Amino acid sequence: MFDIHTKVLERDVFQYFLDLEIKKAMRYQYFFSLLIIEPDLTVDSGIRAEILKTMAELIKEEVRTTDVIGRMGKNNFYVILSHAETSNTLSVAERIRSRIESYSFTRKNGGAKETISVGGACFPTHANELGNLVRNATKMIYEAKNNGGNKVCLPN
Amino acid sequence: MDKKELILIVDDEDEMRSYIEKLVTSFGYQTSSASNGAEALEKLNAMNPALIIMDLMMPEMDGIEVLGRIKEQNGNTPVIILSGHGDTKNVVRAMKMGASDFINKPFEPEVIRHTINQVMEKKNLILEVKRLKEEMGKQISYDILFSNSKKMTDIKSIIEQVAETNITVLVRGESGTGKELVARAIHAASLRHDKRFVKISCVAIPETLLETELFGHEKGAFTGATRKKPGKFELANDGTIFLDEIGDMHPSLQAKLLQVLQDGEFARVGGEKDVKVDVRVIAATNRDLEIAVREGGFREDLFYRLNVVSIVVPPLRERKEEIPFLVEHFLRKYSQQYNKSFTTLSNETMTRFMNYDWPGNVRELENMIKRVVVLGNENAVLTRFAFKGADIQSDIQYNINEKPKVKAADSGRVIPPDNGFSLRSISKKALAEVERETIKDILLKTRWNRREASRLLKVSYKALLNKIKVYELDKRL
Ligand SMILES: Nc1ncnc2c1ncn2[C@@H]1O[C@H](COP(=O)(O)OP(=O)(O)O)[C@@H](O)[C@H]1O
Ligand SMILES: [Mg+2]
Repeated sequence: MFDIHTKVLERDVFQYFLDLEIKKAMRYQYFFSLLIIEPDLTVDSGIRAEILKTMAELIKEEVRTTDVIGRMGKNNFYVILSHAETSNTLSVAERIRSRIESYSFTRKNGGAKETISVGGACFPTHANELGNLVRNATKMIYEAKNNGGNKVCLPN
Repeated sequence: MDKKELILIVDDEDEMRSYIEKLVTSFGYQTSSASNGAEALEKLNAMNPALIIMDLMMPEMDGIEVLGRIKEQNGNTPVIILSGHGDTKNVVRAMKMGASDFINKPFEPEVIRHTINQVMEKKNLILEVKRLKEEMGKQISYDILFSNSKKMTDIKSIIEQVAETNITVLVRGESGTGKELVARAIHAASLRHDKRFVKISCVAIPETLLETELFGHEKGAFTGATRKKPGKFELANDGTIFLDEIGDMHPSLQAKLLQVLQDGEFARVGGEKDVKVDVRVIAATNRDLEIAVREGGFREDLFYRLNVVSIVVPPLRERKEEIPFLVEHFLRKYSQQYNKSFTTLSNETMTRFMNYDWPGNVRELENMIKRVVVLGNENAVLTRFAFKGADIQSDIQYNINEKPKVKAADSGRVIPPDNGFSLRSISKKALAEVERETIKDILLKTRWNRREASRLLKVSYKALLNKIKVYELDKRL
């Protein structure tokens, strides 16, 4: 259920929660959003595990305990922000981004800086079904990366 | 892993190949191997493996080329790529071509296991989703039944004509005739079929609540609005919204609805900014809107806006030729759902069905069949007609010589008449016995829950208590 390295949800479990979130949001009529978070530098696999682990912890600290975090790929996290619409999504994502930017990651040869890019999309403002929500958030993470990284992007 | 799925391993290095084979076998899979691309493609055809693990670097046909052919031949078989260091460019290419994942050599056994599991799970998930989708597709086509009646055939052709347009449709007809099914059929046949179908009933929701249900509200729009809420129109964006019982919508909301229909824009309650949506509207009503318009309860402009195309679903009594089809359909549906084997009704019951007026239309028929299937006999249904006593029509075809197949009450059971029984020979007494036994039966089945029993029997609670007294029914007997 949990990813062994980062202790956040594994892909399939996260997908299950995302699916459930959409159903609940449809039924009880509330907003929520999906964030995709990726480190800007693809570091080599030796230290990547350690950095991702720290990042997962930092993300956890910046969201509510009711929000859901999952590791979807080797190099990214997905987050469900329940009951969040565009404006609070933007502020939470921005908070995560700046927290990681200002954090000193420990490495054998001293501290080091890391940055992340965040792409997001809000239900139902930007999409009201799973496929489109993920597609929109993915588009936004590319946009953030293409604009130099260390950025948060939401559809306008 | 008890299924022992087959994994095909493709690598030109003998050592590597047999090492992976051993590993994969130890994870509980069956394996087969190939030392070059041509062999791999042959085995893919012959053995249809669940998964392929393939080296990128091979002489003659390299991994990329083989991958291309695999995807041509059998695009659904997932492929995990093995790559050496410094091969990033080819890995990216392979992933773009549809490889499921990749593993860098050298690797830990755990990595291989984890990757295989993930790819297999994803594959199974995809299959599962596909299965569910197929099932849902089936259900939709299964659930709306257009029988051979002229009226329903006409409706079907209107549905087909309007489905692909974005025209607003008003579906009219008595309650239980199938208006919602018609709305769903339009959505299912439209270009929006894979988008949302969102239903809202405008009856029995207070005006202010209905407004926030439909249009949402901003945070702090009123006391208790602690957070912003999206309305059904937003949730239905790109899809279809079904406004049921539109005739009961309050006039002040009718104005706002008209605006959405005209501009595709609205403001949430307490909001200023307009929300833009692209939603197809289908409305339904069992009220006579022309009269409502004349009496001022319904806006004339909205009526004309909604009534661009209207589909009138006739009451069941005007298309009785459909009853046998519907009966068969519901019998099948509910015996499947409840795992029962009730597949036909007696001719007698069918005759009665054909002569009944069905004020509750198809819904009433459906509920009746459901009850027959759940209870496992037709008594409950017969009772319903029995209560009507003498007014069961004399134009029913019946067999005068047949004895009533009703056992004496003290035998404790009524044999459901299943091949037509003589009405004329059933005395009032026999009817009473049927009634008594049925009530007893249902009370037993409901564990003497009299409310529930009265609901099943479709009589008032008071009437049931009265019957219990008259027939001297007792919980302990
Ligand atoms: N042609 C039909 N085929 C199958 N089921 C039907 C048909 N018409 C009505 N029903 C069933 O009857 C019930 C009432 O239909 P519904 O569409 O809710 O009626 P309305 O909206 O007019 O009150 C539903 O359970 C529906 O599935
Ligand atoms: Mg209805």
